[in-house]
Amino acid sequence: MTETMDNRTKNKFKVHREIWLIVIVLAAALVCSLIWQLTHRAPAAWAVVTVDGEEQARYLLSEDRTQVIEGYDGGTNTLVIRAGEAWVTDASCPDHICEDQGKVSRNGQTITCLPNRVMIEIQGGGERTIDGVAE
Amino acid sequence: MTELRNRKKDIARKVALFGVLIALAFVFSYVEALFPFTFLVPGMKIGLANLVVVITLYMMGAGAAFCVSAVRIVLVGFTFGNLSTMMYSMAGGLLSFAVMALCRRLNLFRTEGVSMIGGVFHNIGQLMVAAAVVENTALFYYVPVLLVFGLMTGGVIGLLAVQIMKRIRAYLPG
Repeated sequence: MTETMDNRTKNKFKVHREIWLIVIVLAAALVCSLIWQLTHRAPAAWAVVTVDGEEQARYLLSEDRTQVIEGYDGGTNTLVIRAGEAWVTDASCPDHICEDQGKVSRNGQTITCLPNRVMIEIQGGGERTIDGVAE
Repeated sequence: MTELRNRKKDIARKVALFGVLIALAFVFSYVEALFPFTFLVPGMKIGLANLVVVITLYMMGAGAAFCVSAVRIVLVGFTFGNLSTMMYSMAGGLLSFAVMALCRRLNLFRTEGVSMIGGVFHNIGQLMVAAAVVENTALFYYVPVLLVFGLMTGGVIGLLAVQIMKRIRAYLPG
């Protein structure tokens, strides 16, 4: 009788240790995946706005926003950032070339408005890949 | 005289039993090779052959389990694989065997737990070899999946082993 009791308590301890084993392994898996995500996250990308060669502001591409940029001599451009991409929707200048320059998201891409002397450049983020060129 | 005959009988029984166990482990490896589980992680396996190793470990001891495990790996390596696949399964198999034998000796877990930790360390062993061969930290992307998967397959193998041992204990010596 006492022997079976002994075995039962022993088994209980074993089950406890097995639960600990599961918890520890799951925790290790979680920590590993966290470390992986932290070390392999894409670097933050910014849209850097310069007016007449001087940096005026920088906006994170990861944050959606609509921003009116005050350019040279009272001109304005409306910069939209959405879903990691930046583009210009509206410009006060007559030619509206910046609106046609499309969406930029990769390091080194630019949108330029010459009349307002506004330049928007993407800095940081993923390197320009072959895909990026082909886009 | 009778004693000698009995010992001879014992040896014959053992030889036959080892043959059966190794053949079983071998066939399990083959079946597993037929249905590769590589859709999630390359090289992922259920470890059916580990079922034989766990049962041998519990019914015949660590030495017997080591023999079955090592012989199976060498045989399977030469039959279905090559030296490099053999290296992977050798690392996984031996590490997992060592950890299981240790846990059993220390009486840490039930059979299910021993099999679970065996499954986990099987994957850790293979991953270590892969990391040494490929020299690429990208492998560690797979660590969480492999850990959890090893736990799961090891647990299932352990449950199976307990059920099987319940039923075959009467037919096996020791």
